[in-house]
Amino acid sequence: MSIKIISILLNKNQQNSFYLHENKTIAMKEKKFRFLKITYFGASDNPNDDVNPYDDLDTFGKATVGSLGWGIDDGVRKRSKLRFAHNYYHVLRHYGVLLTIEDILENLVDDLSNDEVVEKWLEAAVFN
Amino acid sequence: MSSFAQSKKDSTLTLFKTSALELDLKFIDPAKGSFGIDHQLILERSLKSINSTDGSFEKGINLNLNSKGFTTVSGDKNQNNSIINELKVEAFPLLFVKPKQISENESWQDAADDADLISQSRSLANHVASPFWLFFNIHGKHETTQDFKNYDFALGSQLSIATSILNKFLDFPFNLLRSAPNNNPRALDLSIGYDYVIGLKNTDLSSLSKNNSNMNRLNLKAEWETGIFTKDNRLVFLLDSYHDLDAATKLKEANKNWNYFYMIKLDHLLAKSDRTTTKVSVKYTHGGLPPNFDRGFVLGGGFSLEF
Repeated sequence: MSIKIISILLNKNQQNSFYLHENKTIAMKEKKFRFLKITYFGASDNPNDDVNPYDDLDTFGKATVGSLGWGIDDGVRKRSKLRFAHNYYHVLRHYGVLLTIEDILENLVDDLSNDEVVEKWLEAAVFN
Repeated sequence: MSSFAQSKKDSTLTLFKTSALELDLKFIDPAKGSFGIDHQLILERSLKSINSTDGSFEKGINLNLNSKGFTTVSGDKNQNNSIINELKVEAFPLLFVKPKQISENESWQDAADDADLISQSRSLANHVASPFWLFFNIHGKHETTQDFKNYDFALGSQLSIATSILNKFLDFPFNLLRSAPNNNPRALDLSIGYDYVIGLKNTDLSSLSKNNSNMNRLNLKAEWETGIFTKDNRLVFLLDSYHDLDAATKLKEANKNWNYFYMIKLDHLLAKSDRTTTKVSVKYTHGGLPPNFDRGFVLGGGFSLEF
């Protein structure tokens, strides 16, 4: 009888630690997402090369990449995206996060919302 | 934008890695065609890319096929009667000035909890931004009217510069009139190109040019954008000019040796709710584009809803 009780208690403990671990993982993922989103918002709002017309994070997250001010001509848009990717790479490196310029550019797709892009970057980024 | 293949793996069947089609529908003055479509199609493939092992540096050679133009219901009334189809190979970028270095010295975990992270990333991005970028391409263009009755071919090359060095000077008047702090200019994008144009005999310029069939043409382009008045307004300027380097007297008399096209666009972020963002745009275009350089203007308006 006592062995059964101990076994049930152990199982409960294991379950609790599993849920605790799961919650920690979710919290960590949310923290990383938030970090990437805020730095994306800030880096695209560069005072000398501003492509971000939004002034709050929520609107920015829901808006599409294409709605940012990359330019009218397709060549100009591509060049603006490259400059941003270059700056964003260095900003992230400063905080110990590695996301290659290639990964930044590949996911910077006009039809995606900025939140969706950050999700994709989150999968590719290495957080130290 | 949609993509034929977003994966990093290239297959032999994938001709272009990225593609995009943008259609902009607009109602215009009935005297100018009633209803028009601005189109832009881009297909692109990376031919060669050079990356550093730490992912910090990317240079490449791309193959790009694109088409852009303005089409109206009544083609003969179209004031911007030009469709340009272009195939180009580009060095992307050719070179850029190395940015100032910053050390890897802050923990992202600490920074994520910092209420000041937005302004920190703003100033870090400004600090590491390269002030000067250079791009180069060689291209072939098919320039036609929307009914394809007038057309020519242009072969040439183009150098493009992107720089933020002139922003202070260009932004001076707008900065004086601006109330919002975070609505700043984008870097100036300038291009200079040379085209050897053949097939002029198929255009309205044939009777005005020296040998009726070809032209040495200089192309200058500029695009710049800045914030204006409040935090919700952006103003975009675009200039596209063409100069015949060896113009015949008739062409000069017809005032078609220097041709220009410019666009001024004002975007106003109208309303933001939990679900939608509404933007109103007013666009004014003036001037002439290849192949005929018939001058006219179009004032168009529209709004976009994003869900």
